[in-house]
Amino acid sequence: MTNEQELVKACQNNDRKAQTAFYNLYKGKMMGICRRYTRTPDEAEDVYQEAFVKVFNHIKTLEKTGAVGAWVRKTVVNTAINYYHANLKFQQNTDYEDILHSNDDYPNLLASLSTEDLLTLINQLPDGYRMVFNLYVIDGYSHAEIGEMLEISENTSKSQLSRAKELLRKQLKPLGIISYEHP
Amino acid sequence: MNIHNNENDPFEDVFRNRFGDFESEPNTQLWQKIEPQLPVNPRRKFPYWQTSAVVTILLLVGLWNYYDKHSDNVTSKANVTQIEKTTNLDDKKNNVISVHISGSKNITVSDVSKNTTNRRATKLDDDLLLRKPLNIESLTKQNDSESSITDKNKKIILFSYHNTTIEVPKASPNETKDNGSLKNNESLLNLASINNSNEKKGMKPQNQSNKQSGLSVFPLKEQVSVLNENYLTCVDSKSYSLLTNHFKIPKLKSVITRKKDDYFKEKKPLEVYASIMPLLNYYTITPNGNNANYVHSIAVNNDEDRLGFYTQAGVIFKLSDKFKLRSGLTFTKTNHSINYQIRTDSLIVQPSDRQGIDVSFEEKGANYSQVANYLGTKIEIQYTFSEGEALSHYISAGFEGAYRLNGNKQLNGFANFAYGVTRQIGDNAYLFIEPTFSYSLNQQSDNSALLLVKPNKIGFNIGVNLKIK
Repeated sequence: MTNEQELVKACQNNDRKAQTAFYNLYKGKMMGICRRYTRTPDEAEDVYQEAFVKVFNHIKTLEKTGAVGAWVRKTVVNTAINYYHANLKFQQNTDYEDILHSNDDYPNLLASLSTEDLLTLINQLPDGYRMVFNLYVIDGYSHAEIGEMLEISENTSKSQLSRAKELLRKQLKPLGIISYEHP
Repeated sequence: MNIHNNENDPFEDVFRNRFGDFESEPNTQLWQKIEPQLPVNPRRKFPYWQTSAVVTILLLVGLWNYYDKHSDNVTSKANVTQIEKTTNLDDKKNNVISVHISGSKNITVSDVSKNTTNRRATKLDDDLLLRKPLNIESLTKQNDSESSITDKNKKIILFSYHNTTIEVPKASPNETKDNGSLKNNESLLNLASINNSNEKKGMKPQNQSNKQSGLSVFPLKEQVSVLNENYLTCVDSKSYSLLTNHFKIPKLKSVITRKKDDYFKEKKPLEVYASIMPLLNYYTITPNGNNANYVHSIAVNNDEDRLGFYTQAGVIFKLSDKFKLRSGLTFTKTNHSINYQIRTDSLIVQPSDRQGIDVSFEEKGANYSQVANYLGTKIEIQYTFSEGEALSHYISAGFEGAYRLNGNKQLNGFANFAYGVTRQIGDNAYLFIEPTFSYSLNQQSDNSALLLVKPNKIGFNIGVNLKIK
């Protein structure tokens, strides 16, 4: 049994020292997820707090202690989705009819941007776009899974992802990173 | 998550690589906000039933010890006899052998003769040695020139035996022997333990003296030589005349037998029994959650009722001296009534039409009230670990299957553990008191299905065993 598994066991027994250690172990990762899924740092903190409380209250139900990392991540994502449903107005952004194309070197140019800059771009995405973009691109859920999680159709998930990427490209244009063309 | 199945778009790859393990340092004050919301192990209320169980067990053990001690006062006070030998150089007026016997009486062994063949013995009071007559014989030999004491010192032997002092006037100074060796061997007569087992009266002390170490013979032969045959012997009355004629080895003998255990008669192989006990139901609560409805926390506000009763009747088979098999039918009535606060939590994504409603946490008060009647059958093994003169003690462990007669009619299993005390109250009747702990192997619930409750029981069986003629 690894140290992490022992830590989980102790947390399942509500050992306060273990809870503190567990918190310190996962706080960065969890806040990273929260920052991606929310619009502002304040919202991220709200989700973060709620997610951690959930984690500690439900950790005793976790049977596969070896998979605690994935479980924590999923719990945070679910909490963020709950938060999105409960607190944010779902926005249907259907104004971007332009099909955006980029030139071949934009990935290299993108790489020159700082993570914070990119995070800001993600944060500025409309809520629905941001959820789909995070779930699909970064957290690796399929469109079918996303459709189920967000109570939308699979095709809606696909189109929102497409629009999210278009919007990102559009927002990147002023930075000189991306060129887009009308079809 | 199937990150590898998603399209490989270079644009997505940039974000995927950058944010796949993205971490952000949270505000340090957030932990202070989170920590108070974390679950803690619930504080237990005052453990009434545990305390009452412990107190009862202590009480029973105390009574048992008291009884044993009391009954042994008669028979076994003389377990250890301490014998001390000292010289009293100051007492020049009276040649005295002083024998101190712990007990309650002073006994003077009168006038030890100066004559070699003259022996005086004093029979100790029966009460002193617990109805076992004890003779003390002091013998001196005048003619042992090597061991004669040339000075006028008197020799005193203190023989400690239950606070009773026996003073034996000693022979003349030059009869007391043990020149220099006396001082050096003052401790030789230290201890002689009296065997209180089933020694028979009248055994020949000479033969028994050195063979049975527990039989109160204090001096070994070496020690005897130190004493120079100043013999001090206690034997029972039947041996007295024999000893007076054939006395060779100093002995202190007190043969004490334990009172014959005639209270308990031989057990017959089959008994019937019946008992009833009041119950204290205590429960262990488990949240009954599922994916859609996690029970987040439970706080019991008030446990209003937890009393019930338990009756049983059946037969007891004697398997051996120590083991019995008890089997019977049981009827149990249990009550659980609990007011509690419950907090539920949902991880299910809310549909969009429930926007603005945060139902991830919900807290409400609820009541759990169950009255259950069980009809069961039980089988258990009893192990009698102590069988005293009046009380017999045993422990038992067994299994009980109980069918719930009302409600959801479920079958419950219980593991029963008990400590019992029995006492004979008639020719064929025994009363038993049996603190019992019954651990439920199943859980029960009510219609709300928020709690799973184990209806454990603790109680004090009081019943009667009757032997079948």
